[in-house]
Amino acid sequence: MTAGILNFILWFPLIMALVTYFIGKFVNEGWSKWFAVGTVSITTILTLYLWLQDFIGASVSYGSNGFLYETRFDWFSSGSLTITYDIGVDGLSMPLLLLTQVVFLVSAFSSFYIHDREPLYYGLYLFLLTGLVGTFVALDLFLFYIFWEVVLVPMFFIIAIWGGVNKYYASMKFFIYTHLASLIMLIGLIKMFQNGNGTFNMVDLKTNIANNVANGSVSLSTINIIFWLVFIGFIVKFPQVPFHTWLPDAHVQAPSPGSSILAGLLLKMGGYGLIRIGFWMIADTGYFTDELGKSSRVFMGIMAAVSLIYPAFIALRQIDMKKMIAYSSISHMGIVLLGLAAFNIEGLNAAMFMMIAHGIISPGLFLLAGIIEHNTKSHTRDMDKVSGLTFKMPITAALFVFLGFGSAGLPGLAGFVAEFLGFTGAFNSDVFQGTNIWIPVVAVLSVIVTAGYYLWAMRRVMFNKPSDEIENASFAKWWETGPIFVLALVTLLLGVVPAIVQKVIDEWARLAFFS
Amino acid sequence: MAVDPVAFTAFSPVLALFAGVILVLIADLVTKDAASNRKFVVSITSATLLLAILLVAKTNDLIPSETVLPMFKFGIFYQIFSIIGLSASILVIFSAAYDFTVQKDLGVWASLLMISNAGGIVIAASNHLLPLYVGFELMAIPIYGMVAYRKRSREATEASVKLFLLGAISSGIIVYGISLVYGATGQLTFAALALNNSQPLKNVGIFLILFGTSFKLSLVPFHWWVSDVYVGAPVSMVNYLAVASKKMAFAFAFQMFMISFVNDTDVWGPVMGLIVILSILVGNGMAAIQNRVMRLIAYSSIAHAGYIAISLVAYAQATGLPNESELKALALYAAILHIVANILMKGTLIAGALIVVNSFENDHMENFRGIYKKDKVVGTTMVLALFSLIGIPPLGGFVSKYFLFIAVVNTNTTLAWATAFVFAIGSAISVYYYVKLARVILDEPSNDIPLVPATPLKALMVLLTVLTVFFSVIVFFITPQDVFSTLF
Amino acid sequence: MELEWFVYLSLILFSIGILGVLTQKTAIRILFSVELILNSANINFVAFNSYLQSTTSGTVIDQYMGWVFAMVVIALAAAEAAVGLAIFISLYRNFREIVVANIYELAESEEDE
Repeated sequence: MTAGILNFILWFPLIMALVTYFIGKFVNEGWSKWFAVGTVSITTILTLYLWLQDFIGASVSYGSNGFLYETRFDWFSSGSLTITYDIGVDGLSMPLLLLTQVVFLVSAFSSFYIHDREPLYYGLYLFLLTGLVGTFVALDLFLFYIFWEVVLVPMFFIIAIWGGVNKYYASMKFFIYTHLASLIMLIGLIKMFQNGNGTFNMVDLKTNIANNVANGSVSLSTINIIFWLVFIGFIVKFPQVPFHTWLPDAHVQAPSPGSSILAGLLLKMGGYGLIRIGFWMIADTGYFTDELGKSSRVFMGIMAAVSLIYPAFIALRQIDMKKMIAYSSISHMGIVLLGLAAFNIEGLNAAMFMMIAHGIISPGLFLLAGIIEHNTKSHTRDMDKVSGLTFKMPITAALFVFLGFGSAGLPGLAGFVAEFLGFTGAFNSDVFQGTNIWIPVVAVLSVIVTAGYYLWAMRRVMFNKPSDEIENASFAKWWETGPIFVLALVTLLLGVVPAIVQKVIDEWARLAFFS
Repeated sequence: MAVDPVAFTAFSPVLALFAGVILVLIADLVTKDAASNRKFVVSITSATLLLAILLVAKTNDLIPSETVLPMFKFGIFYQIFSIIGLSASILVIFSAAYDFTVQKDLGVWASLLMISNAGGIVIAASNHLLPLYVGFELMAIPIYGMVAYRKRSREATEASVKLFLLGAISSGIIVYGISLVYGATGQLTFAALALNNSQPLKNVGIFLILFGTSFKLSLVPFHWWVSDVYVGAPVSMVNYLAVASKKMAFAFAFQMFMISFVNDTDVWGPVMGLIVILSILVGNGMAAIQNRVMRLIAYSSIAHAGYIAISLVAYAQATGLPNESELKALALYAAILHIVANILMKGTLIAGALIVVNSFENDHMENFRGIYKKDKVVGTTMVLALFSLIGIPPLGGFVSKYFLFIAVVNTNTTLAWATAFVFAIGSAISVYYYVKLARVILDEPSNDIPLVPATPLKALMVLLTVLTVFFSVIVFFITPQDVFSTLF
Repeated sequence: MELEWFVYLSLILFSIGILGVLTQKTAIRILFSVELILNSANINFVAFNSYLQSTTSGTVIDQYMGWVFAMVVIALAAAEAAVGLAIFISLYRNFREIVVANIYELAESEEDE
């Protein structure tokens, strides 16, 4: 029954994508947005139901192979090549599944300003939802890759049709970058399959690889190659310096709901893939505690430190609000990588919690930037031209200050918990000792820069005298600020009682890596 | 020597095609005007091709043993490639009806098409280099005439001359290679060729055959005829070249290299690897800078020929590995998948291009602007075909590319890895030009010239697109073992 | 006679053919060169067959396979030449010449862009 619900959450949006498109096309254009909102509401409620049923309580009771709500059957089977249809959730994917639903619901409301080709927009929007949910619940590499790649198409069209001035360039860059990365990842996945006795099923593959390493038929240097291939694949979507250049373009040119999904969820796909395939699937081989794995982790740590500090400085000199938030996203994802590189319980907690926290906060900020853009006279997000927002749009300004602080890591809000855990993990880690201590030190210093650019942005945009640009601005509409208000509440909730999500994450991390 | 009646059963598809040839030639004589001529010829040709498909599928069980026809082997390989070629030709004859509209002489063209198809069947059925070579020429020679069919068109004539000269040279090189192989081994049956050990003379022969075949497969560095021929020839002819005849040429290559020279993989494997890498890079790189759609299709088909030939690299690299036969089965399986997927997507794309070119009289990319707004069916099917060519799941092109990746990466050699990475880079480059074309198609139209009406062709495009979309469901009924069990 | 002499002869003919294909500018001459290549292959077939005949076992056809192949190649070369000459006539009608080096309209159309 619950397996059926998970299948429903996965496929219902795809069916409704077609229904929404055709209803909007042939019956009434205005209905399509309500169909989309209704669909996402239903799947959100069902996800919440699953969460409340099984993920609240002392401990989650996983099935025999560590997953809940599993559906599994052979899809293609021939000798040494097995592809399965296998979906299920665990403590890693369930919070992200819930996050997906929430961000989609919020962004659906915030899309109401779009009036150009509405049916197509909401059709693609629901299609995107299926792709994202599929990425998070797929337990077969073939299935995972299908959903992973499918996400590109609707996102490409959302940027290319409803985007800003440079939308063609940005969408093409996004597509080519991520497609190339996916293909390199695919080679890694096949290499993994090749060393795992001919199955694409993640759960079987995990045990097979671990057994093969234990009995010596697969060497750790092979695992090292696999790790780096999938790492390159995921790190581009993630993204970290130096693979980040597609992100500012895509985020800035996408429509606000598109940016919010890009920042809130597409980056999390990279993080999820890295944890699930890069870490979870090969952790049992002992790779990460081996010398090879340790040097990989040091390299990851360096990458994370650079990605924390360098984009933060770039964000400091941005005048486009969205571009600033985009660079801050790269910087924040550095914490995820740092936590993973630390590879201890605090670090893994931080990595997963940061994905949730950033997934709540950054969509809110992007949507706020969208509201500001729509209400200024020349539709600008230029922070030099907009000022004094508190006088004209007090609620928007308040939310921006609140979420900005959340992103900058103010204690009591979600971002702080993740950063704190991440730095603790990094300092405690076995690889960041001795001369490598500079990595966590640089990471911590980046917080100052982060606080710097957010405070500076607030001073410029929120306070000072109201500029000409916003003289006609008024209170934003309910469907604009309402959803962001919800996100702000969640930010506060996760900051004060992080346990509601962190407990599940913590339990899963201990079970998967340190049992 | 008495002719065994079994021979007639075995060759019934070829005989059916020749009966069709006679019928369409009669149709040319008895019809009164061009419109009714087209109607007759298209229906006779497609019925003949369908009958041939049916015969290929059904007569297989009636052929008793190989002793009756020692030069032929009627197995799944024969069935798969014959059906591929014949069904692709159905698409071609439907599109040809829009290209040759002026005179009532489509019948001659259709008869050449069917003769060429008979050659394809002979290739697929061969178990000996003699029928293989005869089939190859039987397939190739009608094509020269088909390209030059518009006698007054300077472009078509130029394209035909280029195709003819290069085709003749390549077949000369192939036949010289065959003669050397014959001298080295004294045998020409596939089984005997596979058994013999490698000798210098045989190696030279293999290289010559490899180069000659690369001409036909339009692989770099033997590719320079492709772009000119694709631009000059009538679009339906391009459809035949890219969709049907090249696939039969691949059947020729597979018969040659996968079956005859199976024990000389260390000779041709590395060279093939180099050719594949060059084809993917040059094909994709050149396609990215084209402004004429037919030229873009030409270069992209060079790249796709490279993708299909990856299976040959994987096949060669699998030699000597512990699970050799499985890997080889997978390589051939992946190639067949990509060939089928390629027919579906490239067939749709070229059929769409045909409609546009016939509406505008040329193939500049500007003419494709706003096709989606003008005609939803053509626009949608073309865009889906383009995304399938990129390899976006769950479309057909993705599934076949996935299997090609598995086939080549699984062999785990340096060359295989290099090929896989080049494959990835090439696919990423291809995103640029396919999406550029897709964007132009989805854009606002820049003029209001309507598209020519082409309902049957559009119906066919829809059918192909549906097959592309549900490709993964359909192909998973055939496994690599099925394909391989008949080869050895 | 030694087998090698025949192989050398066919190699020389093949080389002349390839050289001709690469250097000649007239369609007819290129066709001549192709015929040379095909005939060099025929010499190979016949020579190898005479040499191998004593060692080859099997049916009559197997023993004379080289000769059979040579016959088939001659027939196919004739077919090819027939189609080719027809195309050259069409070429002459359209362009008033058969020097293929001067025929490059398709390449020009590329440069227009």
